[in-house]
Amino acid sequence: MLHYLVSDNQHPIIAVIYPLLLAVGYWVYRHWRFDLLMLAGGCLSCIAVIQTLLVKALGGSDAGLFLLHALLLLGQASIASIWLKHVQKGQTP
Amino acid sequence: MTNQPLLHKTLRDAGINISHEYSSPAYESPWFIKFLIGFSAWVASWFLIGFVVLSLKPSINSTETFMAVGAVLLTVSSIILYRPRNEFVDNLALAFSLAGQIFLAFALQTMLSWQNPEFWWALTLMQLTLCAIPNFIHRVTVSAFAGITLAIALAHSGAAYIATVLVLAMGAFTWSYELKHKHWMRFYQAVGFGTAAALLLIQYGLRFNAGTIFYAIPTQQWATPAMGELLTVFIATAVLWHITRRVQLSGNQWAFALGVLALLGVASGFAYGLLQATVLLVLGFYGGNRVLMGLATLALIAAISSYYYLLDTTLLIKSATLLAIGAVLLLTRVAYRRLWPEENP
Repeated sequence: MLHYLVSDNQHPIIAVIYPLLLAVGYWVYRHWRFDLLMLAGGCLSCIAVIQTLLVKALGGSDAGLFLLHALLLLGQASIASIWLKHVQKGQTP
Repeated sequence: MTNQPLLHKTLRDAGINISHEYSSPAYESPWFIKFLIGFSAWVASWFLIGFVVLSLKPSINSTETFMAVGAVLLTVSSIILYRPRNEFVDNLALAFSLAGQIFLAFALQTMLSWQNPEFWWALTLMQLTLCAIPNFIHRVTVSAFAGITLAIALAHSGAAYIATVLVLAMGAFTWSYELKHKHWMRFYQAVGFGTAAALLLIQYGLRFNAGTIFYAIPTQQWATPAMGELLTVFIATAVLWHITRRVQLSGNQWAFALGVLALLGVASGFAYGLLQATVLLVLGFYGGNRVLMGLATLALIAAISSYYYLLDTTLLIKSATLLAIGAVLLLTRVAYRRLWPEENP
């Protein structure tokens, strides 16, 4: 999926299928059959796609961009872990 | 998951006083959240390396610069990780530490060369020192690196065939005494996970032809493969003694267990790593640790698959050996159930 999303000759339908798949996954594993592992997998997939698209869009030709990519990646991982911990707390009786 | 309020009410009704320490337990994030953070920090550390290298482009080639940058990054990360602040800053410190370690490894490589055992011993010493930083993910990461570098250092010092066994001994010790000292529990767990991950990575490394770094080295090997297998059987026996000391096994049960261990030791002679993975699996089962059991199962699969893809034996012999190992182990299980039916209701 990641390959199709970030490849140069991607089909436009992939850009529709992927968010749809994420949304369905979120609903299923958050509200229907709660599974934190699957939600974490979705977060990791999202981070991988966003970061790859960012690297493709901004490039990495100078030092500042490398730092920016590092900070953006760490920021995404922090947000994901805070959200997952929040969801975990919400589910614990 | 445990219903805490109901549990506390039941305990109070039964006259059991619950101290404040246990009444509101801290939420422990599961392993996959820790993995997500660790993996992101690992990738981010390579971006940071790119940043530093491009920023210091003209002078980056010298060993001193590598050393200085690595030392600064490690110092900053140690200060931050010593007192946790917030999620983002801690992740950044983790990435700083990983980048710092890579810079120091580059500097050591330039000074000592990776073909010298001193290089691997120095790396091991660095990783073991970094275990002192009180951050769980950091400890798991550096313990895993320490396990791998220790195994390679031993291999380059003539002990290739007992290298992973010593890493296993480290893991077996930490998992056996995990609950012994309450204040050291998190430390033991982190080191235990790190060593289990190291064993798994070495196993997969051997599977994908990284074995040359262990065995095809010019150093004269003083340790023999039999020595490695005997040591593994010894560790397995020690683990068995530790986990069954409250159950009081009878003499016959001990004889049976030792026979099974010897059998697994022989099978390990063919499919290298089989007994090591079994020891981890037993320790995971003993502690009710599903993550450790998962890692051990992966190591078990790696051991069998490494053997199956060996090129120096015919496919027929390998298939027959695996079939024989499987049949004998299944027969052992049947025999155990028949001999001690009261233990297997």
